[in-house]
Amino acid sequence: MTPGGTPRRGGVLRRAVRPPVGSTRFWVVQTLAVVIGLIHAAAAGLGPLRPVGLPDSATLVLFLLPVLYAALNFGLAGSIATAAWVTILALPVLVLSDGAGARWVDGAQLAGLDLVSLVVGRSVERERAARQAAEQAGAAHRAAEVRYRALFRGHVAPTLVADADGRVLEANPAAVQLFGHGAVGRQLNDLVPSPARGAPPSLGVLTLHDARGEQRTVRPVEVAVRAPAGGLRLLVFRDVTDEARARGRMAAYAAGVVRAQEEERRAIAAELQDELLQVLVGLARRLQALAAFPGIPPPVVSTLSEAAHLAATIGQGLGATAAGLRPPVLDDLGLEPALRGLVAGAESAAGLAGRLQVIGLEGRLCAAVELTAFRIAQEAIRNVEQHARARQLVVRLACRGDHLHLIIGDDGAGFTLPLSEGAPAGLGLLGMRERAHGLGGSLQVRCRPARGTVVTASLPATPARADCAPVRTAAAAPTVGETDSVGRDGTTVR
Amino acid sequence: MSTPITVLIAEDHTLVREGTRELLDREPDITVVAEAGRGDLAVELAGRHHPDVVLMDMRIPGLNGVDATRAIQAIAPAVRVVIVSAFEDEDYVREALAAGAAGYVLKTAPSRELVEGVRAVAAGAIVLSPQLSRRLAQGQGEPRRATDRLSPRELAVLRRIAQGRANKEVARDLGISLRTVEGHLHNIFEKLRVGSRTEAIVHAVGHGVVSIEPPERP
Repeated sequence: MTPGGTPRRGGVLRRAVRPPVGSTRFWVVQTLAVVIGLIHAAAAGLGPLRPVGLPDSATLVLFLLPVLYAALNFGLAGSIATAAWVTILALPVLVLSDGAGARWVDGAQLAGLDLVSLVVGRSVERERAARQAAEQAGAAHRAAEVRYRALFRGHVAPTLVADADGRVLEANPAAVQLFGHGAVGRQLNDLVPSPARGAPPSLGVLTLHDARGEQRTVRPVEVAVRAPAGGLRLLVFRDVTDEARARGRMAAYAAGVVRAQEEERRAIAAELQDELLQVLVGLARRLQALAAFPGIPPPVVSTLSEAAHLAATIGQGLGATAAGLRPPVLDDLGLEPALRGLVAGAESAAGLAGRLQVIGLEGRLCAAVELTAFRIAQEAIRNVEQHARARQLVVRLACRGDHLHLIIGDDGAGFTLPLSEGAPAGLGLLGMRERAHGLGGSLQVRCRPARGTVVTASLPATPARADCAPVRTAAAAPTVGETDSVGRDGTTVR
Repeated sequence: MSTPITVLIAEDHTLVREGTRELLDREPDITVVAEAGRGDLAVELAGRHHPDVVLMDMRIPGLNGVDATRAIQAIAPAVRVVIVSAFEDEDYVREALAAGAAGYVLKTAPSRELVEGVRAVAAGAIVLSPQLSRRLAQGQGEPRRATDRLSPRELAVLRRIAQGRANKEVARDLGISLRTVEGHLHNIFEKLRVGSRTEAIVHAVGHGVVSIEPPERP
């Protein structure tokens, strides 16, 4: 039989005519058969042993020895060849024996011998095949086991296998690096804070300190595996540390740019407001005073008055510009008055019917939050003024718990501006979003053509007293539920 | 001519202060009695000179305009403070009036407005730059007709309150009891849906119920 192959039906003959001629033991057996044949012949009276008086059948039984040996050792191929050989050796005695009765008995014995060889050889062969098949299956199973174990152990993603109750059964080396050697046997809930394993399994990231104390940001994904004993839970952690770091760097850069811009605006506004405007006001007053000087001819009086008026008008323009850059009301009085100013500005500049609703806001908020909310509202209102062709503008500021919700809505044409990055309109939107994210908040734009646009920003309502430097936590950075672009068909695209 | 109106100028920008002084000095019935470049100094000088009118810069070092106004009202309630500011936001106006200011004039308003404003507040009126009055009226959000719901008597009370009269004066003026004045005020608050005297005044000024023209000087 060829190694690895399975015994096939109909192969019996082919194997039978292909005896194991390469085996020394086979030839030893055949020689033994010849020896037995000689004994048999002798016993049958052809040789010198006839006078001993042994019956023919007694020596014929001896032929069982080589036949069974060959069957046990070489299977069907060996047993059939040996049986054939034995039959040939026994045949002359059979033919030459005297008495028909004895010949029949010997012939039946010989046939029985051949039958035994066939049956034993076949069953030995079957048993062998079964054993080999089992061995092969075991080997394949072991190979698969080795392959999958290598995959599990070598996988860069930390992976935990837990039973249905959440007890960790196995941890791959990457997981051991993340959770330490004690991970196996512990509860998943202890290793992974629960929000990461909330209902939608891919949401949320997790910041952990690995066994070496290094901070790692991972995104856990849970896979339920059906297994006979109650099922398994597979928790794979995608390492997003580099992503999170890169995003953090970009965010820090963006925040820095925004901060620098705000600082510059504040400086320019202060210069306009506190210096140039004052000079112009002083000038206007002096010119007016000059006009009231006794003895000045009337035409000069009117020219001086006009000049005074002009200086005051320029001053007014500077004041408006300064307020646009950085409205003093925001710093002095807070968000609500500043938003009221924005709405009033939109009313007078664009003829909109504006409405401001403020709910639940008590006291001042942290300067960064106020400024962010104000800038988002300013940008959104600017969009309404310039693009929406709206008649109504509603600004709503609601403080609920520790969240501040700012909504700017209009009844205009909808927001169908190109939003490719870098396009001026898109830049405004990106800027709003970046500002919201900078505080760990989110921004959403919903628009339906001909039914207006609604910009919603959600920011932390940090009160003014608390230490309120803008902090972007790793977990807050990829904001859940943010809108990434606005669909032209009017649906909110996430 | 009667005694001139005495004025204190509180303004940190020298150019503006000098310009304002020159402007007011041209007016025969107005005398500038003191100048201050800081808010706290203005409070001190107001307490010393008791001027009829203080022109108070909104943003002034030491003590900001609103706080200085409050301080002056505390030590010299008869002094009428006009906030002079570059900011048009109605919330500044509200804050100033709540602090006890008798007027809010824009810095960039025509100089004539400032002079007239000094005269008007000296006469007891509340003075606002016209564009502020308009904005307040809009900002109020209430329909314009809100003041129409006031009875003639309530209007008379509101007008006098807005001119800076105390309840007692109003009662004497209209020949009614103090309690009646208070009752009218309560009704006015209800009808205008406001919570305070200042808001009622702002509302009245914003809706043109109260003229900023000075009444006859005594």
